[in-house]
Amino acid sequence: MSTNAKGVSLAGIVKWYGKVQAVRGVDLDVAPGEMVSLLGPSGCGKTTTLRMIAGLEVPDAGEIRIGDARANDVPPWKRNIGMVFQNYALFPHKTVAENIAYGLVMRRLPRAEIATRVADAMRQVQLSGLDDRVPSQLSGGQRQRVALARALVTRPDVLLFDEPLAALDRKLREQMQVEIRQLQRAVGITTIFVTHDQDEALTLSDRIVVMEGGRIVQSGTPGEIYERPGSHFVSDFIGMMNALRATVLGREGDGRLRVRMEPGGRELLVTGPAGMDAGAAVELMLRPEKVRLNPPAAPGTIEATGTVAHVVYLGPVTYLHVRTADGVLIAMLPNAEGGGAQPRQGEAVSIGWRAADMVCFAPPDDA
Amino acid sequence: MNPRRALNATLMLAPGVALLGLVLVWPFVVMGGMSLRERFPGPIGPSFAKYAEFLGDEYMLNVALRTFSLGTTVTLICAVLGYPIAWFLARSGSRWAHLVFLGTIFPLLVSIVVRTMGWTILLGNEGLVNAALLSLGVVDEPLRLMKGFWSVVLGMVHVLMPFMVLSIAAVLGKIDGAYAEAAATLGATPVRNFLTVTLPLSVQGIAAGSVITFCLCVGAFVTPIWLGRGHVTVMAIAIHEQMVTLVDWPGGAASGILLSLATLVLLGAYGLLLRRWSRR
Repeated sequence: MSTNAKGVSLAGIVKWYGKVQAVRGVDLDVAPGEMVSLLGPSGCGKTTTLRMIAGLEVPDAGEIRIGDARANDVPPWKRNIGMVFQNYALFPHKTVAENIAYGLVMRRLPRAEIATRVADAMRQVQLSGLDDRVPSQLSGGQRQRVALARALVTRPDVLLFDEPLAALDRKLREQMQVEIRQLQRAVGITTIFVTHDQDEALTLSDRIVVMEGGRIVQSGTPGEIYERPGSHFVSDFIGMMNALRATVLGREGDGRLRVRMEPGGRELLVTGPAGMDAGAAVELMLRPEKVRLNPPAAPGTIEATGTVAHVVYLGPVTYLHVRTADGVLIAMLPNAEGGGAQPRQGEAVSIGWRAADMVCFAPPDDA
Repeated sequence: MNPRRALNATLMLAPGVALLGLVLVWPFVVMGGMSLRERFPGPIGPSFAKYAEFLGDEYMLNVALRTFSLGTTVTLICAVLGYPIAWFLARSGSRWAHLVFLGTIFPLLVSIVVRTMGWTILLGNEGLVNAALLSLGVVDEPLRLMKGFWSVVLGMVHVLMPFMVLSIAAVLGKIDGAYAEAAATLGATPVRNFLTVTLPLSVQGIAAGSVITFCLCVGAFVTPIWLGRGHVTVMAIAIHEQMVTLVDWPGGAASGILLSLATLVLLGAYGLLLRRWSRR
């Protein structure tokens, strides 16, 4: 809808805090109208990166561009951005309407236009009628909406979110995720969303950028990040993973690795990154939902028998921890189909998975 | 609140309330009673003669006007000069902040007499400032730096500044830095950011500091006497004259009650004004 959406591009961004290098050379291009999540554990540099885009921090090296213009030396009040803060940072001495109008007042717009745009924005986020409340009289979800309206009403070039949903309870959080996504699509605004919550990133984003230790480790659509993680860190951080230890025996002609699982000694062919020599210790990553109970025999399927060590019932799904000769595997089983009984603890079961669903990575350094 | 907790709360409050009753309420009652007599010793009254006397006495009205001008001036200067210091203490994160803090509260560690004497040494006719100016040939005869309204203002600002700075710093330190950041992302220049966000949010601190500063200032005695050299008669000095020199106890009591009432009324009006402004 918005025809003047601007892209954001970061090139070689570096930020030091004293002797700590918080951001170690980040390159990122966000297309006009795109919604990108910066995802990573605390301390990975995602919030610092966002604050540099906002102008609240100044990078020590590299270039930030908003649209076609270099933004490094532009102070935040001249950047035409909208930002939703972690605890919303609603002005406690101003009413809801005054909070939303703030950016318009700062832009010295005519009074009548401010009133119209504030009313429109309040309708857009379903806050009509709350004009004269002050932030302390609002619920968490209402504060979130005020913050959103305040950031959007100025029609910024870029919308920035700094973990804005962390304080909400789960149900409200999921509802707000959908609302934010719908609003972002309707407005067509370029959006960068910082979160440490993988579900949030998967729900909201056109593209997820995973950060670790001040660097971008992978960037891709939610599906790509989930299905084809590029590193042990990404595969472990997003979603649940079985990590099975194995040793590399050699590389086949088609590029796949021949590995032997430890313990158990089962030999497999799996895809794996380049540069892995025979004898290297690796971990085979396998999503629990790829493990099936009583699998039909098919070429490429690996079968194992074991006993159920632990059962975790979660409503829609049940997780079975199965002790096999290959180690403990977690299988995710849907509880659909009339709520049929799942195996109980101590029961002997047969499980299976496809070798193609396993991804091989070098284990993390600290393992 | 259940009865047991109510009892506990009462027991904990009791000593404070008893002390306040003894040193605040009881003297007021005695003063009030005294002010309603025509003379002491004499019949108990009640008579408003002393109040009428005060309000019809141009000298006393001038003293009252001078006292409240002094209080207003000193409070204003403390707020304007103290705010940046409080800001530095609360927000800068500078490693010099603790030194500035020490410097701020230092006047409180020195006896009021010593502190006032110090200003006398600096500002007197044979004082440091005049000696320097004379020896440099800037002036031919000593400037009369003392015995004026402004020398009293100077001394009072010095004494009362810490109360203002600490009150403002306490409030500034608690304001979430995200408010100013949010305002900046919404397009507020640093000046407008301060005027629309930080200043209104710190009004509580200015108000608390102003109340302390103003009350201490309108009741001040030593500093106006010493630095005013008898030319800056304020209420405390006038009441002392009435009570001790003229032995007019009912007159002094009436002046005291009027001083207290006027102070309360002014502070109430000030509070309303600040509240209205910060809500804007």
